[in-house]
Amino acid sequence: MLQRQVIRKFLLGIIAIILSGCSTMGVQPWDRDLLAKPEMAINSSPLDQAIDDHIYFSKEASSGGRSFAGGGCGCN
Amino acid sequence: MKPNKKYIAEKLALAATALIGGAAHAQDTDSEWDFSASVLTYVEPDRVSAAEVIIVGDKDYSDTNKFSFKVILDSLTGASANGAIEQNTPQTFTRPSGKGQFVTNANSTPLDDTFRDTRGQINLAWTDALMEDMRYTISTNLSKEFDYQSISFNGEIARDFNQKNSTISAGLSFASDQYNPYGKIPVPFSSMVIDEGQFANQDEFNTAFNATRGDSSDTITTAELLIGWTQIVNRRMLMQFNYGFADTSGYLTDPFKVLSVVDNNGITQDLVYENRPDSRNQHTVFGLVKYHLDESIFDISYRYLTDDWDIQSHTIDTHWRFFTGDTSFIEPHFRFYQQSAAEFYQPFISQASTMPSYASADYRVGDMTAYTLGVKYGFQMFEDRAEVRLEYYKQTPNKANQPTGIANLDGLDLYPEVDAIILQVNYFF
Amino acid sequence: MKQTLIYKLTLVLLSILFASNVTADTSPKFNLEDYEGKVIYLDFWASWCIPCRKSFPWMNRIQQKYGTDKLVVIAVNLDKKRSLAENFLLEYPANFKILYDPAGKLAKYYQIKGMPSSIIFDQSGTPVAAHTGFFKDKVQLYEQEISKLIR
Repeated sequence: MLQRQVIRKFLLGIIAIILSGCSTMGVQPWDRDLLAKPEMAINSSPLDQAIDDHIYFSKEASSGGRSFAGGGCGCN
Repeated sequence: MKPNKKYIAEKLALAATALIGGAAHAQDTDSEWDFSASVLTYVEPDRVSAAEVIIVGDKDYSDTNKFSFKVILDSLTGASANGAIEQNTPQTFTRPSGKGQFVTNANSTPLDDTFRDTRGQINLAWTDALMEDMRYTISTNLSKEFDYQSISFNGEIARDFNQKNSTISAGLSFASDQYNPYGKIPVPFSSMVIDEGQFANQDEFNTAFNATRGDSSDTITTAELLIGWTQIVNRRMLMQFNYGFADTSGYLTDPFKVLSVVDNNGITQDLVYENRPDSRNQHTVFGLVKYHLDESIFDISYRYLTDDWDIQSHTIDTHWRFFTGDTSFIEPHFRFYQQSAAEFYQPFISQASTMPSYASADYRVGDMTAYTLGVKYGFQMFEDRAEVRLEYYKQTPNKANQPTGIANLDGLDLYPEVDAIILQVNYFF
Repeated sequence: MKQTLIYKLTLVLLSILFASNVTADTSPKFNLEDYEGKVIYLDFWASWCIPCRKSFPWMNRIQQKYGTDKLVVIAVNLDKKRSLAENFLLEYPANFKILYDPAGKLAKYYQIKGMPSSIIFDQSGTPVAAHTGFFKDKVQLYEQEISKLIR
């Protein structure tokens, strides 16, 4: 009983640390020089991405996750 | 500050006029169109080859809004496995249209070259700010080929937090597809009618063939949800986590694929058209990390997918871009993919067993491992950027070398590997 | 016993996390007194900041319009490498004062919230307006704030 209470409070403490960590994770606005580069964008190669999505949608049973899945060309 | 509703309505109106022709408000004379173009060739030796051209254009219409379009044209030739297994003797198959047949040699995987050939696609997207730190994107996609068409609408909202160090986004997508195969949709599990001289005339064949044909068209609808969290970790690193859910329903069967029905000696007695469930729900979780080292950028992503067809897959994708000069780079690429078979996947049907409710021998829903190895080189051409990408893709079924329980089948290649070479050129201007 | 230990540990960890955010550099690199009697438009920019390409021609315009005896435009560069700033200035020349702050000390002192940022000081050195981002739609507003002070 006491152990469960201790565990619960410990977990709450951990979650508080993670959440406060998330709000402190990041950089100052003027330290975004590297992140500003187009190569560091999440979708830095949209043409390759579109082509890869199309190829793998046609050859495998999975799609999406990264952007929207499916939408069909009904390719073989 | 304008009330939000009016602000959005104005923006949507602007979007409409911009799409129809020419922005209604004072033109931003310094903002021009940015274009990118890509030409792709995809070759599976002895199987399918494809060529594709993509053109993308985008333009900023104000501080916060951007319009972009994408046009794709692709063309397929060659042949693709039809699901039948190879035999020690040549096999004859009727084309899906019912007009004509083709013969597969002994000891080779049956490949059908009758399928959709040329496709055109157009995509339009509009992005704008909703309020401070909040953006939305709406887009539409239309794809058309000889026997298939698809239309979809997507909407996405993104909100920044912590001085834009964190972004939460949510998107919804709805797609409606229609299949109009030449020769109509086959009746599931009906036997392929093959003219081996048993018909007195063409009409008799046609009657028999038409008995295996159902509706001339069918539809597929998809609804998808995607939720994402992007987080900047430090000056060099960012990461993204997404959760996606997709619900597809309608005609999910492949009308061109069959299964071989074999006897105890491994001899094909019949060919039946496949049948898949009319609904599929998928969940995906995705994670990506990008890290900027001193002279290179590294990224790695992982995606896990699970669905109610019992398919689970793992995808690991990684790139490492090395800067080799002010304007050039070399980027190796590696992708690993593994999937477990759909519960209705089976390489053939044994004559002795009872017919299942659903079955498909399409290798693309089977157990498989695939890997891609590629390299991309980026350079300056005239005053603009160009890139060349070369990739090798190899897919290996995981059921290879598994005894089938039927002696004569064990000597045949029931699980062929598929490999492909991809060559792509990008140009930005 | 265990409980109080966990509470103490959590408190220590949280204070470490929050403490690292509170330090502020209290030494500005420029003296407001040097510009007494003039309105200051203090801008924070970097070569990688896309809206800065639009702000520079406008800053040239207002510096010329009001003259250096009434308005001083000071653009603080936050690039980590001077050469990047210089390349930007070749393409978007500046007819106003540039200060270099590669360590971001001035940006931190003024608690800049985004890039680019600007602060308008009146003739006695009091900050009267601050903006995050540079929007062409808001150019009239920015100029009004300056012209209101200059009379």
